Amino acid sequence: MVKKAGDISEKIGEIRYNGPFDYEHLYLAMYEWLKNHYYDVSETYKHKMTPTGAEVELTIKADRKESEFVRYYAEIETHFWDIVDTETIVAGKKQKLNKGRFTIIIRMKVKLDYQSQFDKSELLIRLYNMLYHTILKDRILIMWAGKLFLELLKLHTKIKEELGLYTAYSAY
Amino acid sequence: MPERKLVIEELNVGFEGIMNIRDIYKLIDDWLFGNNYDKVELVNVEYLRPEGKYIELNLEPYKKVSDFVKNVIKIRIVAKNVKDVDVEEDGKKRKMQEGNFSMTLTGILETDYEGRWEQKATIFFLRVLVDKYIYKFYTDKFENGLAKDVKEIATQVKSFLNLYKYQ
Repeated sequence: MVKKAGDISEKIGEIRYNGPFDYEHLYLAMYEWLKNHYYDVSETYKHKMTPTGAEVELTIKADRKESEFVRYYAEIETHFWDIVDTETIVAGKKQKLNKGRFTIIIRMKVKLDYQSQFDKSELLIRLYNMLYHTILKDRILIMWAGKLFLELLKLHTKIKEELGLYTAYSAY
Repeated sequence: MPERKLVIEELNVGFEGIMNIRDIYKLIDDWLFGNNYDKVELVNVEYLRPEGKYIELNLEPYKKVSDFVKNVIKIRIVAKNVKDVDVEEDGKKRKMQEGNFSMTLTGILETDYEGRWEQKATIFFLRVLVDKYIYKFYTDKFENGLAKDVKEIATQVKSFLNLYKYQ
């Protein structure tokens, strides 16, 4: 049996942070960004109280139909530790924030033939592989995977902006 | 597995004093974009510590030079004890940072990055022959190109940091 060529997966980036931040704003920024870019969003959420603060594991999975042949998948995996409430003075005003440490990992996946139209026979799989490796190779890499990569790079920058990181900039 | 050749090993740039981390990052990012490198930001760390912020960046931008050769530049930036300071520039207050900055650059030339030439022993054997005797001229050319890119980033950042010294 011929093996069908796989999907294109890539890690966009990882952010590790320790300090004050606004959990609600951060969550809304990620959620709204995905919604504004027409993604269907689903979440898994785990919350645990520890002596040093709350521990939260939130995974946001999003997908969007790009065409009848291509579907985009984005995943934001977050893990927060030692989250406590804190008050910080921002621009002379008292503001309620959170304090703690966390990691955010953004991943992407481009799934081709997501409706499994080419799975029906060995000949179709061979044709699919020919499309994947030769005829559509550039289109897959540049047009489809490249587009999603650049799109999620903007989300990555948006998260950095939300956290006020020095590196919140992207030329891409 | 692609073959990875170390072209430039750990080129270091260091600085201590007042700088603008945002501008340094912007300079690198703009350079990579302008020179057709694909951005890969593996890890971006920012920790608030009592002595100041700790910032670490691991970038691994790459450029596909051909179907066989890929330039990879590993950039590791570490900034320690970073504190925000207000600096007056032309009568205007500007937020800058004070601290220790270091950047390490490594240039890697990846050949056969799609792993097409190692599926069979005979093809692998052919690849070694082609690599050693026929393609060598091109590989040398690609190595020089990568080395030039790595050195150019280092020079740009060095020049940029030198500007701060004379402000």
